[in-house]
Amino acid sequence: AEVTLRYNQWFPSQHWSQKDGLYKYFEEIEKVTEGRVKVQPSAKPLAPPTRNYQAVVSGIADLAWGPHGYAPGAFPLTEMVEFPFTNIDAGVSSAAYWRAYEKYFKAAGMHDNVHTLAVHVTSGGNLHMKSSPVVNPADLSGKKIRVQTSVVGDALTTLGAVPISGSLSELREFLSRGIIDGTTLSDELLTGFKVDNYVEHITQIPGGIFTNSTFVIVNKDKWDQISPADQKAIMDISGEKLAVRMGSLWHENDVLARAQLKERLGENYKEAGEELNAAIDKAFEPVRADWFDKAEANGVDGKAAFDFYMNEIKRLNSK
Amino acid sequence: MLEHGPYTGFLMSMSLLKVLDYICSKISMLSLVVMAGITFADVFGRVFFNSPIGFAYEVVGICLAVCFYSGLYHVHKKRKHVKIDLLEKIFKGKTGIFLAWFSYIIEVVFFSALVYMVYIQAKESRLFGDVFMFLGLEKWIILAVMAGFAMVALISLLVVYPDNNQE
Amino acid sequence: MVMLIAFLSLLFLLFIRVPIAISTGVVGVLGLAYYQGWSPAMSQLGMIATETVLSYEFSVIPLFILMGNIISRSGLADELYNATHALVGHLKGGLAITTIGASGGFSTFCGSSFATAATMTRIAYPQMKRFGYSDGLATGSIAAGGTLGILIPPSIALVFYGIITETDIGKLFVAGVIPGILGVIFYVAAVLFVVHVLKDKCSDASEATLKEKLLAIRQLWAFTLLIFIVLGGIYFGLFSPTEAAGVGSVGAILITLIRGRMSWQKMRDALEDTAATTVALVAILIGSLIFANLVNVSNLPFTIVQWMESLNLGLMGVLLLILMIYFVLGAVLESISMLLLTVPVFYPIVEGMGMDLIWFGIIVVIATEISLITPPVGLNVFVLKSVVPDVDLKVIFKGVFPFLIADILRLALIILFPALSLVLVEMM
Ligand code: NA
Ligand code: NA
Repeated sequence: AEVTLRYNQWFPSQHWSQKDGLYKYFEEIEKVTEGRVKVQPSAKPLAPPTRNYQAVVSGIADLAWGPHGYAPGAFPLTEMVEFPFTNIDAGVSSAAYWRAYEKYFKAAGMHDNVHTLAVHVTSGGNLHMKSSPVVNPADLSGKKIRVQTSVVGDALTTLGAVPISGSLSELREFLSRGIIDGTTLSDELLTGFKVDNYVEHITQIPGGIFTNSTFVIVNKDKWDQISPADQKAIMDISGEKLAVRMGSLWHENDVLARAQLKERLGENYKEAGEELNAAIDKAFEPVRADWFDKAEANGVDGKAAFDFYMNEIKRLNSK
Repeated sequence: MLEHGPYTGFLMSMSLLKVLDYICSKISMLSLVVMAGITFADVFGRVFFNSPIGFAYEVVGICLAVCFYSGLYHVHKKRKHVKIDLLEKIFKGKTGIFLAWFSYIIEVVFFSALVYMVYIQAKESRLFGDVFMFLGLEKWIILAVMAGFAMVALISLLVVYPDNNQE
Repeated sequence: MVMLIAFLSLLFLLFIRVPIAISTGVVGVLGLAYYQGWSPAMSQLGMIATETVLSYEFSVIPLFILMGNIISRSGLADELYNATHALVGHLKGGLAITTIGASGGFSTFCGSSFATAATMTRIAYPQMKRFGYSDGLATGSIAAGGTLGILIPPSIALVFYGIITETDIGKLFVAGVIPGILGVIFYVAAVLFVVHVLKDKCSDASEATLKEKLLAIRQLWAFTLLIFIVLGGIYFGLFSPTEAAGVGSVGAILITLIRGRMSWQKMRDALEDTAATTVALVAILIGSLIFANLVNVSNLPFTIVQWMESLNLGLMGVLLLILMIYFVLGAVLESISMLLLTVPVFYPIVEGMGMDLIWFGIIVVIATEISLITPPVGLNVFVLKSVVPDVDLKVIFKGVFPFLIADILRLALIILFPALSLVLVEMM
């Protein structure tokens, strides 16, 4: 191959997101460039997940996939897709996200120092409880719930819960020993991380109580080494196509995990009612208001971008 | 051990070094106390009052960083980095002195590079804009503190001569 | 070829007494510069030097070391060993056996080999010296006992393995129980061999009277209380094993304060010691991670896999080859790096040959564990060395040798009888 791209393999290589998602995409890159561009995954992480993006900027890795949220504060614009209730089908939301990125975020300088192959979302998070169900907002009162981000933590505090921050590697200990009463995760992550047997009650939040935003990026210098024709060939299978490929894969596996959880939990797997949804929506109000300010500070009309994103989702869903 | 400085002009800077040594050693010990204390307080608050300290995790990480980089001064000064002494017979006489200098120079070069790169990390992080999520603190500030301590530790390495018969 | 040069220059630097942290770091950066250019190589130095120390996961190291330091300076350790000595002191090697047992006990609430070795060094070494044990036996039993931390659940290594291979971590933990107990038994046998056959120096006290025994046991309440706080807290779900280190440190301080056994001076010494040990260990960790990145970037793991596939060996042949690779890599790499580097490329091979991944996990973790005590880079040995700098490294490695043999025998047993790892899992 003329150009070999080193991929930062920080996520388990046998996970479906890699095996059935990115690796298939890498094979297609090789095919459409007739072998002139190859992607080589690393045996272990070249950089910690928190520095995924910077590793590509500085050339430690040439290609990386990962969540924006691992570098909190660095990508304020992406927080738009993390709002609750926006992500019923990660494939659809990912398509809308890519369009919003192209139309609003790219121009504002997001991802300026890399070449972006795709941005997409992963499946939305639900409330996973160890032993007590959450039906009404009051059920959350005093419950210790592990959160991934301070934004979700703040919202849960408003609802009377006690947010616990903790590393994902300790989640198992926290859940199995009852240090926490529950956690906010997507269903596929719950089963994927093999902690589902500690959860007895699940309240599904339609569209997710939160969502993760992720990127697929390439080092700029490396990208420039690829001929314009091959660059075009690669972009023809990237962008929205890649976003939908990854998002849909997530949705498929989330649906599988949900079926598996529903089978085991029966009616202990329930959908959140209107009252709970309204309370959550209200709890996130300050976060949304805050984001519009951040967007403005970053030179983006937040209202327009958010409306565009929601409309695209609606439009794609009605198709 | 090594109370060096045959040059009297060194005296002034020596006392400055002593102050640095004192400060670094105190900070390193303090960060350990904070690390243990905040973990304890977090658990205590969570178990008895249902009010954990959200940023405990981040503080513990920062404490480890501060403990390491401020403690580096002392370890450099006493040349306490772990090394392998399986073949110490060849370290007698001239060869020994030569190898000690060789090793010392490699050490100095490596740590100079490390100090510089930690500084660069701080600079890049400032542009990147990442923060400690629960503390809300900008990450570059901590990285800059780390670079500062690393710099001070490098100075302590520079004023220590390679010593063939140490420990 | 480049990697051969890298390995050789690393060994050269190590043998001319360049500190381990610097040897691995320098060779790592130079090698990375060869493969990726200067700028990415230097960035990796900066990234690893900052991200390693900013991580919560590694904080368990200083906290457990601190707890050990306080326990050993407050008289708690003296009481523990006085009691043990009263009970088993008349048996040859009794304290070394106690050390193995205590390490095993400590491993049930500590997932890290580092921390187990560091804590036990602080507690056990001065005591064994007090009762006239040779340096070799004292340090050997501590370094070896420390490796139990990696296999007896909870285990950081098994968690990593489980995540990489997508095997059930709970099942892995259960599978580790019998091999872990076997480890304790084999180590005890090694101690007996050393004192009875090699006639190594150890205490030769006469048996204590019943009254002396009871008196000694009564003194144990403070230590028992601390263990109860730490272990009880974990099992009743009050805190996680990582947090236990912090709670245990503060608990140890409080208990000794209440009993009036803690002076300002002792506290300062404990903190100073902990800081020095932490710095030395974290520095090694940083160097080792940089070198691991070089192995990673060089594609050596994939090259090895291709070579193995071309040999067309049976499962046992492949397994032996993998173990040999672990011994070679284990000479210079730190255990978690080694695991992260090798497991992703090896497990698809053995899985394809029909091997049970839980069984393979136990084998891999024991192999990694062995690397913790093999020269030249045996991290447990360095933990010891950094806590007791006066003991010659040669003496420690020599003292470790009988335990190494015990480990290899145990590994052979586990490979020959898969049931040892799997029988409890099947009963689940
Ligand atoms: Na353990
Ligand atoms: Na080794």
